[in-house]
Amino acid sequence: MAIMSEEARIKRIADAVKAHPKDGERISLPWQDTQRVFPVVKLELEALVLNPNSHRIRAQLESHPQREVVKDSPYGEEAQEVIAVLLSETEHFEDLRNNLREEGQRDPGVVTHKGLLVNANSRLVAMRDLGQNYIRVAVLPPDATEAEITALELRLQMQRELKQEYTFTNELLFVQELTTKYNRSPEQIALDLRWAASRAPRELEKGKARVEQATRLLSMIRDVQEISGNTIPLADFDEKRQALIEIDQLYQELARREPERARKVRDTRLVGVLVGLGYRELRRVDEDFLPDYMIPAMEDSDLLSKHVPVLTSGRAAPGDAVPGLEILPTPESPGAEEPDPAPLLELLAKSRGESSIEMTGEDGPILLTRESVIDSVRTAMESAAEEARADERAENRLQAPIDLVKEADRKLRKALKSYERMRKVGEFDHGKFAYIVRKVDRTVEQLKDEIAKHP
Amino acid sequence: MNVPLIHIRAQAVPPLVEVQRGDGVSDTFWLLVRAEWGSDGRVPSRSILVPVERFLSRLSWLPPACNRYRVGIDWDSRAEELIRAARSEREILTEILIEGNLPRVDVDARLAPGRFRRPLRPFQERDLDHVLALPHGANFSVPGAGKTAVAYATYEAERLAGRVRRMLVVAPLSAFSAWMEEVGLCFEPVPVVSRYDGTAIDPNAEVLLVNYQRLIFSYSDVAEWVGSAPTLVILDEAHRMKRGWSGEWGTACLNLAYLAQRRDILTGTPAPQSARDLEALLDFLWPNQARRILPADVLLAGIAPPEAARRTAEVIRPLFVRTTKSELGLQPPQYQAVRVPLEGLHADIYRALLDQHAGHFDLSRRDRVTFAQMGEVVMYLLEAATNPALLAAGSSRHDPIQFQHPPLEVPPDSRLADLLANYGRYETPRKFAELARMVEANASLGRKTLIWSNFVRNLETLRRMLRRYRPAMIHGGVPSELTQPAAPETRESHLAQFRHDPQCMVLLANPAATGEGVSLHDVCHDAIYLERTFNAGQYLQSVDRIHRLGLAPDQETRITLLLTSGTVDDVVDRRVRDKAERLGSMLDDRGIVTMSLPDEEDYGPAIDDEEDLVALFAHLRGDDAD
Repeated sequence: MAIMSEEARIKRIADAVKAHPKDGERISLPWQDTQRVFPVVKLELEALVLNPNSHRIRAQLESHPQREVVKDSPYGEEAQEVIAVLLSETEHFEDLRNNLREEGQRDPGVVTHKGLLVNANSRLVAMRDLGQNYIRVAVLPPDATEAEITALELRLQMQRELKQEYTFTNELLFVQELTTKYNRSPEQIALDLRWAASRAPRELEKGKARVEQATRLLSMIRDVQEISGNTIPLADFDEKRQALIEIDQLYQELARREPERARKVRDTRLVGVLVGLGYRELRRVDEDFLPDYMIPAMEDSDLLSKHVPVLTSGRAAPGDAVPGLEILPTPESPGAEEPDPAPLLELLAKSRGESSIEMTGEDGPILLTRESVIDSVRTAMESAAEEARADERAENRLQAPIDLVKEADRKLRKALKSYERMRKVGEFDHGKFAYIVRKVDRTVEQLKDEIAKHP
Repeated sequence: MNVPLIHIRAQAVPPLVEVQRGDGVSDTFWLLVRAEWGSDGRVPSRSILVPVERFLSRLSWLPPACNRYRVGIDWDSRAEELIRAARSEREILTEILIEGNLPRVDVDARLAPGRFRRPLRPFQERDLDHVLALPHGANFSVPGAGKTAVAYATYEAERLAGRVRRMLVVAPLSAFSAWMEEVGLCFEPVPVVSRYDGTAIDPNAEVLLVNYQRLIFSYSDVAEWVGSAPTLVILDEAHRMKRGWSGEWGTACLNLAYLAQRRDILTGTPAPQSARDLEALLDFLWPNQARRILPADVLLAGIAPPEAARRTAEVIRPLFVRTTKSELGLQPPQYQAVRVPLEGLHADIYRALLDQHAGHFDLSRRDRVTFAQMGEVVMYLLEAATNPALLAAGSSRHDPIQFQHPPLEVPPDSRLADLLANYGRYETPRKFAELARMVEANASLGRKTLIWSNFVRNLETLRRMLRRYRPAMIHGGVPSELTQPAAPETRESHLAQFRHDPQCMVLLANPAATGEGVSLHDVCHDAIYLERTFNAGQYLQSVDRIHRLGLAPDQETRITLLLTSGTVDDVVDRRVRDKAERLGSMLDDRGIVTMSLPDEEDYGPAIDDEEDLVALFAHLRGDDAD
């Protein structure tokens, strides 16, 4: 794929703008709190470069083997090819391409005077695919500042954001970028993303809460990535949205009162996420799960039994203490002495992408396949969850006879009312009704007999 | 060792902490910071502002994260002081709760060199001993136990000990007069007391009074005053901030807590709805500690188990004092019910009214709509039982909001319409005649009479009827000096007239407008109730206006209830007697009970529970006739 040099691009675009006729196409775009009109010109595809910061591919790019190339020379051919491939793999790319084939380009894209696409990245790739040669773009003036371009980019992205769905992690990154790159407050972000429908305090509050949740979820993911030595790609979490939200909610509930327990529950659930535990089982993981259910289940596992103490005991902080911690109160948090899933979490996170895991056995280190460890942990968690559920049911069982009879009584009274209304209707089957009532009567008699037997 | 740092700086007003990201702090660590402490601030990628409460309640993640990411902390001295103070308060609280023994305080010795002059009663001394032994005290004594005097004594003792230099009192407007009057009785020389009206704070003020509403509007000015010298902050009727961080009043008070050298709360009803209400109150006294010390199930949303209040009281027993009603040592009032017969045209009207409403209600319903509709019917029944002329008039615009109702709808050609048209022409209500006789008898003995009615129109009628006794009058249409200082007639001026004018033998009062702040026990010992509603709390509180601490031991207090036989008056009388007994036993409980008493902001409805409804339905059906 041929791309013009930056110098050539600047000249080509300047020429096109100069040649723009008085009655040529123009477009009005948001510019510094107002609208401003920009000329729209028709350019060869080679005169433009893809934007390496496109939000749609941010998460994928982050764990791409060639990410360094993209970072170092983003407008080189190799980098541009990487971006093009990632864009063509996004979810709605096919639809976009079909649409361009059938209807052609509708809205113009936007480029800087150097030919860097501010938007229309996916469209450019699709048009190339379709063998089209030209694209219509609005050109920003050479004196546009970085800040102005950034602001326009944000506005255009906002408009698109509302049209297309982002993947879960790309959405989190977008929120993060709005905070760090654009310095938007949580309330502004809520409005940007329409997470707050209006400026009404209640709406803002709701939207802000969602922005803060996104920050916490990304932080949780980043923390696990950090533990893994950055071997776990972001995209691994795309399917875990609901699980992570529930982990966060539980953590927030517990953190105030019992921060230490809150962290342990969170880490135990994250272990569950890493080994692919189902949602239903994940929800069973509470403060008691690890000590009361999971550890006994791990002790029953041939593979894990010997390693349980190592995998579930907290470790002392490593190395020299960093300055400034001495004045903090030593946590006398409940649960400090209880088992800690952190080593297990770290083991699983760090070994992502490897085939085996080294564990400390009685006679020195032994190698286990990672798959077998993951399977054993998941199996242990599943049976622990089953156990926990059985215990809960046993508690419910005591209540069951009472609840069932109550429910039957309620239904019978409803039947009485409905019978009063229906009995006069011609086709009502009185015989059948009377028969079933006699059956109910017999069952009730049996119940009474049982009660009489055990006074 | 050279590691990246975050810089933590505390700002005094409002209490905030700024966290700055130093060079080299990784994105992931900064994300953790924001996840725990939020992203407020102008440039959240570099620095965030965290409310002190959030900051202090979320510290435990910090050491492990700092160690893992190798990030150090650089504190400024204020932030360091915040942490140290929080830490030491936490330790002190733990010690009080676990050890349970408080240091002995020699109150007399502590107060001797100072200005405090008021002799305290034994139970007040006992409460003061306890409160002074605590770094921050809670006084949950019943209304009328003299919490204000104990609070002033606490202030003086702490001032003499060098711990505080001034005092901020956050109180409802209606309590201001008590603080103003009491200061003169307690101190010699008297410290400068100033009411804050939102303009400028009197630079000489030693005691500053501010109401809850004003505190929100002028938070930063008040906070600055509190922060600029060691200050005792008192919340009077502290249950008003029970919504804590989710309410505006609560937020302002809880923020103020971090700036106060000492904090005290006063309320006779610390848990109006449930033991959970205590969370915010305790967090004011002991910031961020309530969740740590209250029983877990008390904190859960929903209705706390009934015995929760009792368990809570056991847990926090060392932190509060409570003087019960019977400890005040008052001789119980003498009650007398005077019945007037329902007869003549009056009886016809009352029965016609019953007929008009009897068929209208689905008597099995107990929902809110039914309560609202029955609230209106009760108004009509009460009017009809006492003074049928009110039926056609509707409520006065000065009636409390819970009493507002339209004139009774009477079909123009109905029997009721005829009866009502004739009534005004031929009859004077029996209760009014009876009342006039009683007032005359009292006056001839030199006794002033306090007359209660819930209906402003009745009060106005009585004012004309009893004019030779020069009646003073307090209801919703008479403004308070505090809200309208320039008004020609104020509640204060009427009260002064009743107190000091020997010609003025009668005070006509509406319970909704004559709240906790009013005490008349020194001039009046006879109260007559023209009528009452189902709200027993209001009734008990109105009795307390003339039956309270300071009454001479041998002084009789006489309460007379006027009842029209065979009317809703009987129903109300039975229900109020039941409820007053229950409330009475709560007022004698040494622990924490879930109860609320009416105040002018939350005066309470005329009917307040389902049993009232049941009794009313029975009356409408005629099932309650003896």
